[in-house]
Amino acid sequence: MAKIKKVLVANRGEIAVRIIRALKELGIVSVAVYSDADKDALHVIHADEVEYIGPPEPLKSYLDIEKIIDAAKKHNADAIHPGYGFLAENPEFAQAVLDAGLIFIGPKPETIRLLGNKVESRQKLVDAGVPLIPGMLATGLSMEEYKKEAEKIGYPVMIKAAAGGGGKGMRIVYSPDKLEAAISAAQREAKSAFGDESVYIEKYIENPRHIEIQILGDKFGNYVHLFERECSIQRRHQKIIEETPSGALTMEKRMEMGETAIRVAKTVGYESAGTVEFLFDKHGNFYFLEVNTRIQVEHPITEMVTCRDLVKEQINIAEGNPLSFKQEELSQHGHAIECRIYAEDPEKDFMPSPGKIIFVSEPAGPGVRVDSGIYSGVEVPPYYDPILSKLIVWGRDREEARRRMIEALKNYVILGIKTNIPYLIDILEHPEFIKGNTFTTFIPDHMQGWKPKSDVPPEVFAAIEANEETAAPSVKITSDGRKKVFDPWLVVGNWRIVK
Amino acid sequence: MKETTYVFGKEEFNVTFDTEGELRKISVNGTELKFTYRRVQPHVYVLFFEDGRKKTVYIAKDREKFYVWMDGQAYILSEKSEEYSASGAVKKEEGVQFVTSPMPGKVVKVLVKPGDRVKEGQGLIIVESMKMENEFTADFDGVVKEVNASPGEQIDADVPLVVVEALSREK
Repeated sequence: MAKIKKVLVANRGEIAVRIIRALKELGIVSVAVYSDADKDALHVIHADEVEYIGPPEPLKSYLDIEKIIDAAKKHNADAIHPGYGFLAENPEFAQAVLDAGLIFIGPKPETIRLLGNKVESRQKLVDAGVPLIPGMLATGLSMEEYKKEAEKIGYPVMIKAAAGGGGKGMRIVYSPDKLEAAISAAQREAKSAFGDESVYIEKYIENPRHIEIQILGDKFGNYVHLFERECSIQRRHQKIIEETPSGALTMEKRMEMGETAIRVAKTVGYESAGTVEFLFDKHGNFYFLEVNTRIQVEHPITEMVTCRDLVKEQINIAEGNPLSFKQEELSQHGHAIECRIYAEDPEKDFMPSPGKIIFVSEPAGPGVRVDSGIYSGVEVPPYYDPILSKLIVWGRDREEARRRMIEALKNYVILGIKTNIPYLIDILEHPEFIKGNTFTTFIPDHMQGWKPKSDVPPEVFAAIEANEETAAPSVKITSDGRKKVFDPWLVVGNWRIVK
Repeated sequence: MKETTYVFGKEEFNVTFDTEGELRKISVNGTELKFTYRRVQPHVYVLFFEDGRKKTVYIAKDREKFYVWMDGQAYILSEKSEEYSASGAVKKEEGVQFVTSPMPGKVVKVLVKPGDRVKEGQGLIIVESMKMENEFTADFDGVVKEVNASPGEQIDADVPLVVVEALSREK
């Protein structure tokens, strides 16, 4: 057991701030690192100690293993927390941290390496009885062999081009009599698109949902799962809204998935916090996708319904303590939703929208949590992921959480750059979202060609004129002939204290 | 009385603004409103309308753009001026396209050089920002007049990177 006294946070933005908060609560000294683009960033403001690590480009700063380990040594940190993204799932980094005599707050390097290799890890997990999407990678079979394989998998099946991508050569087949024609067509299409006619068959997942299980493992072989998160609302494989519990799961199915996730953890000897991702179909079948070997962006919704702090538990495990709770002590309480707030323009194909944030006003109130990396006046640099913050709400049930989220989003004011907030509100107000019909096809099915409200209410111009008038010279003669003197405090404008 | 034309996307709004004692009068494309207001803190205005309605509106002005937030909707507007169109991205000069990036970034690739003939929709320059690449294309058939960027260069927002002149204008 090693009591951790000082931790270097090898990250930036909201997750660095989140980790620093946990460290402060535990009485652990925090060290932030920053690039030239992040001199005034929120994580730098919050940390107890800071270290400059180079130019804005991630490769020269946040991804530079040597610089980060040097910074940790210089500050006498005894551990490094990688957050998510950047070096979080890089086994060389985890190994380099250990080689430097420091604690890596995350899984063992060999676990990260194994789970990062999708082919190798899948084989290992199949052997342990973890369900994968039925299918086969063997190509160039005879039509008879394809037919047998499709029969074995069960209809509907999906035919995919081996050289594939972009939907070319893909066919969904619902019955055996359509198989032959579909394979021939897919082969022709694959041949013309990729110059390779190889196709393979996979089970077609109807109404797929992305459901993942949060797991924790300690150094003593104890494992727990903290139930599911449903993250089906995705735009181009990027999650934007997550919730828990999932409306698609019965308690029985939830426990079955949880036990499967624990089997995954046991098979690889998982330590620390991790996420086992599954695809879930309308018949209640679930199939393993991958393991994320890090603290997940959407971890707060699990914290809200289980009343546990996952980052603090990661630190507890890294110190070599056993898990601080047992499976039977865990339960889900209420419903939580997270929305990711991105600096992007939903009107212009979600083009990133960095720049200066002139003003921020965050929502508050019962059940509202904001994990933010921004403040009024901060510059959002163009070099990194466009996530600005995460808005998380808790409600007694899904509907209360949904309504609370809409109100919170409406009160999340960000001036100066474009954000996806109006888009998020429209998803939450969509009848299919309200009904809980949240499939991974939700965005293409329901949000295609989305436009923001294009009419500008006249009240907007009233505010603009009020703002112009306030900023204008102070003395005016009003229509009744009186001199009207504006309060000087109304005209000083946007002053702030500078260093 | 103050008269202003504001631009939102491609739409224009003719606004007149007047003072009548404590009361403010505004007309937007013919719709009239009377109101008073309080600026409760920088960027935050509470508007009281004559019909009893109240609205809290958040507003900031930066480089000739108005950023307004009301009821969970964001509006970015600008005053109409001769030189710039609503987006600020393309200078309004008949038959000339000034290609600018709406955000700071890095030039990934320059696809044309001065003197090149380009077709409408043809790629001119690729700029990377926040791990995303954006290709800017020609608005019309024309000739590349200027290229002010090179690969790897860090660029600011709203600075002309490529200038294209329409073919029809050239003759």
